[in-house]
Amino acid sequence: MNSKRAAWLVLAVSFFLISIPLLAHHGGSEYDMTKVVSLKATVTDFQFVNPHTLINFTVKDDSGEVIEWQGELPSPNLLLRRGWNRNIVKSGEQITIIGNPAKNGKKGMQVKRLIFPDGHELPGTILPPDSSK
Amino acid sequence: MKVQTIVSLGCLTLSSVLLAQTRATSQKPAHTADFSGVWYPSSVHTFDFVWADPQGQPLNTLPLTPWAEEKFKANRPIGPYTAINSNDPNVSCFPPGVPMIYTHAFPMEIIQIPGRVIMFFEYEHYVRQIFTDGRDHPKDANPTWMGDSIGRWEGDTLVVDSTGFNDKTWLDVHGHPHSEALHMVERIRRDNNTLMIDITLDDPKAYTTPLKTQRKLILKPGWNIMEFVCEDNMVNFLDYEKKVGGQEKNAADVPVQSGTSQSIIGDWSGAITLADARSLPAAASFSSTSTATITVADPSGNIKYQLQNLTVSASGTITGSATDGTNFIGELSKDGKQITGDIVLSSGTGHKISLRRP
Repeated sequence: MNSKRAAWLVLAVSFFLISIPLLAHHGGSEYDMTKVVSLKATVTDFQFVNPHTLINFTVKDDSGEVIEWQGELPSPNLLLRRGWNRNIVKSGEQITIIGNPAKNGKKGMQVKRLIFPDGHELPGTILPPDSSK
Repeated sequence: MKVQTIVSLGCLTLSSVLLAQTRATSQKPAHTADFSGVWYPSSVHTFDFVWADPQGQPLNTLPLTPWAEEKFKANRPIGPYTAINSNDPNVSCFPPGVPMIYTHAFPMEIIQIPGRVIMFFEYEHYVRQIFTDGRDHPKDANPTWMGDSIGRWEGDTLVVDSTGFNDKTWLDVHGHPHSEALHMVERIRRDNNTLMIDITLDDPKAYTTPLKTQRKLILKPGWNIMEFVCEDNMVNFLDYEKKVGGQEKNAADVPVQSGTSQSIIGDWSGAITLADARSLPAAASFSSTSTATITVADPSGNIKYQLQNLTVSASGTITGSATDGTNFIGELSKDGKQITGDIVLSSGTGHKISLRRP
């Protein structure tokens, strides 16, 4: 195993180690961490409120039907320290939302990342602002 | 009595009070180390406790007494259970108590004033007052969520002794219980920007031996403690939790379904641009509708990602994940000749990949 591979693995393993507490307050076991969905979303509501941030959005499926989704993110406190604020996501905005879907197939996900039309990205439920220094 | 006499008497009384206060303050042992500042749990020591026996040997299972075993069986922690089906007191916004509050991913500020070290937790603004003025624990204390803490300095180590806990909290996210007999001793020391806390728990009603664990926190200069109110948006959030955490199983309902998998099967080659801007040759082989291998030609040897759970939507979105937690998220171009996407580590740092049919 080369060093970079090892480093990536360490990062990945670190995530699993820290994922319990990040989600300890209200869960995480709802989501299928082996699946990732990337959705072209139209934001309908952004609730930047404790205990967990919620994004409501719609997605057009392959047949053109509009489906309502919800995404869960950590506490606004943790996101504020990563550069988020309450106006950073606006209703009506079209963004790509990437995350792990609910195991039960309901339209909910744990949001890992947002990608805006201009290409800039925001991290969601990931490693806390570090720490390892 | 003349006004002047009254004033003089008043001044004398005031002076005596002030003198007494000054004496009392000066009698409080001085803090011999400075822990002041905002501290954040280190990801090196995870947010879960690693328990050890008194000799420091890691424990896979905790030595529960029959009393605790019964309580432990009745607890439904998050992980095996979804939040909505868990009886973790935190989920209902009850205080996590001590020591579990140390496992919350929120910072804590230490404030030192004469006679006290105060831990001010961002999570729900819970406060631990550690009295260092030489007092003892109160007798027959009414049990509380945060317990009663007294501390003494041994050189630059603060030794904190805590009792008086209620038994409504869990020790950790796994639902390990404790009784009101819980006695906790912490040895807290600072090494530059790191705070190390060695914890020993003794609860003979719940555990047949004492338990040891450790916390590491990192100083966060410039951080302030923010407000966190658990109940803030609980109405909406519990509705959401009921939706995603319910028992219903309907996996086929996930909208990203196989659509054009056949069109990506085969070999691809191109390059990956790493987060540090280096570009390395990359190749992918989509061997079936559900598995693929992405190979990155690193100078020190090939890096291979074995993707499973591959899905391709009819609109061309490709997703897959490797067992080490790496995710792949890509797009197939309209003409079916190019794949662009990201290799997403769990840390969120993106590595852009671009592939074409050779």
